Amino acid sequence: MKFNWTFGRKVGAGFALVVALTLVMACVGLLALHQVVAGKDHIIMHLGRDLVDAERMRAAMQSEVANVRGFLLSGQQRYLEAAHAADRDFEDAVARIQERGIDDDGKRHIDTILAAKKEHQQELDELLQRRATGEIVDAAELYEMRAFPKFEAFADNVRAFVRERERLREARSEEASDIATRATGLLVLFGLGAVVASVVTALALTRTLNRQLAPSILHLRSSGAELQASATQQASAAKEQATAMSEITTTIGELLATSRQIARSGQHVAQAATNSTQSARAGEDAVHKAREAVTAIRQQVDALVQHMLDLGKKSQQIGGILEIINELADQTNILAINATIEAAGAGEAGRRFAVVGEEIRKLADRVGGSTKEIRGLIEEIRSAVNTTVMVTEAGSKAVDVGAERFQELQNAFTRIGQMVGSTTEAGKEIELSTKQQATAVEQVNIAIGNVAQTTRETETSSQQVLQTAAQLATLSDELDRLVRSHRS
Amino acid sequence: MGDTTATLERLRRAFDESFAAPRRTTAADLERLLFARVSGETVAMRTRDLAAVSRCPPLTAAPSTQPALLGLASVRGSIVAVYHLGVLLGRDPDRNAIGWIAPWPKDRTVALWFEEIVGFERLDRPPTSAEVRVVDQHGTPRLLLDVSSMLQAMLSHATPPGAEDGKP
Repeated sequence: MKFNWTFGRKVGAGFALVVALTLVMACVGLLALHQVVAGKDHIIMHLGRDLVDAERMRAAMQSEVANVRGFLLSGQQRYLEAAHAADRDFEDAVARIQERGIDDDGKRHIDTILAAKKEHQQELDELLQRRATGEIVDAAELYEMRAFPKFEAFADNVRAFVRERERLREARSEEASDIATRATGLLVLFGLGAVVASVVTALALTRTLNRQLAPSILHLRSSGAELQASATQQASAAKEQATAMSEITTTIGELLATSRQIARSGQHVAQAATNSTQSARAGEDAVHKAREAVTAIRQQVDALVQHMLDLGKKSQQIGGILEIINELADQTNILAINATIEAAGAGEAGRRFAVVGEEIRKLADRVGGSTKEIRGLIEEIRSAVNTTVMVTEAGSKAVDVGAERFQELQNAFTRIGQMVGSTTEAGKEIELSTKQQATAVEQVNIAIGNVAQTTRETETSSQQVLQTAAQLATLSDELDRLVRSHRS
Repeated sequence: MGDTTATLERLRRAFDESFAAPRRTTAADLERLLFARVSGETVAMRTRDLAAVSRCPPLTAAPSTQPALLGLASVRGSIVAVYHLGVLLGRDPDRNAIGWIAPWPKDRTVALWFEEIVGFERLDRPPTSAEVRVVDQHGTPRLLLDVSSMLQAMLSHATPPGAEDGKP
């Protein structure tokens, strides 16, 4: 399982591990210290006080014995009272020991001490009663004989209790020392573990940082270089843009002047449209007159067509006559040939006749040739007439079309008049719109000025970005140098 | 109009000059040629070998051993045997047009049929008997026919119907 932790999280985890080890070490130390303190407190509060109270018990018993001896020797009451006070001190000491609580061995010693005390007290009470009644005189010796051994037993029990308390104190003391020793060892062990864990964590973090930072540094360097190149390009572009904005400002100024000129031209156009309306009406009248003239032309063209058709008919009649002439010429030619043949057959007598026949034949040939030429001319005339008729008919149709066109032209002039009226209104609207446009262009000019200012600021920002990119490149180099030096 | 006026003037001048020119009475004036088209070919014939020229009248078919005989026609009250000139020349016997006929002056009962009259020329120098070609008005050489010799040869080879039986 791969963890994609951030550097802060990894460093925090490392520090958390070190802190956890430190806390464990502190807890172990605190526990050991608590146990040591508890052992010492037990030694001081219980066993020490038990020893003090045991010494007080022995001192109270010795005081009681001494006062009892004094009473037995002197019979004075004050010794007896002192003995009773010592006895109360003894009981107080026993009560304090029992109140603090005591283990089974101690309780057994206390019971033994109290039993020995009771036996010794019974002997003392008997001796004291007999001494008070005067029954005995030499009570001291009797005491030495009968009560002192009880006292010795009691004292032995007290000393045994004291030794037992001292032994227990030593044992507890050694136990506390052992606990302290173990705690010290644990603390040293945990301390070494924490140091090792800290070193391992530091090495792991260093390796991780190096491994993860190196590509980032390279990328940062590359990005810095790209950013520097982009900033350079942006600065250049911003400079060009500033230049372009300056040109645009100049152009907008020219456009503003042009718009004002257009506004003035719009006024002229409106005036011209008004004049055009009048001209369109005049043109409409002229077209109406032209249409009447075209109608007259059409009548003349119809008459011309009729004349041309008559001319064609006449040409056909001339052609018919020419056919007759041509046939006569052929007949004459044949007659001339035959006359020549007959004249040749007549010999010398027909020679003159042959000459005449020859001339007649030539004349007939010429007439035939002339009729062919005239026929050609007639054909040309007929063709020309036909062409003229066709052209005239086409002209008639063209005149009809022209009349229709004139009608359409008249209608067009009417529509032109209407459109010119609309154009006049549109010209006025254009004039107004152009003024508004000029105002808008002025606003645009101001906005372009603001944009130019912004562009200059952008150029300055680009320079700053360029400097920042250079600093970033330097920073990436420095970071790379730091990482490389750390790795090396 | 200019061309027409010039043409009229040219015709008028030529007509007047024809009467104003001196009369030529040389021997050459007596030799005239008729150019005719037959079987797709233009040939020349001497006018002294022709009796007249006229449109071909309706023909009446007649039995004959001569393939050139087209039929019999009535010309000015006489019966004339009409022969196809092209067939006599050995050409194809085409006869699409009405055509013309020219009787032979030596025997006016014999006439030649041809398709069309092409022209009539008068020669300054009469051709010799050895010449078989003459030049027309357009400069094209044409075959000059000896009509009399041709008809005499044809008639000499023709056998009268009674001769085969030995009858006169």
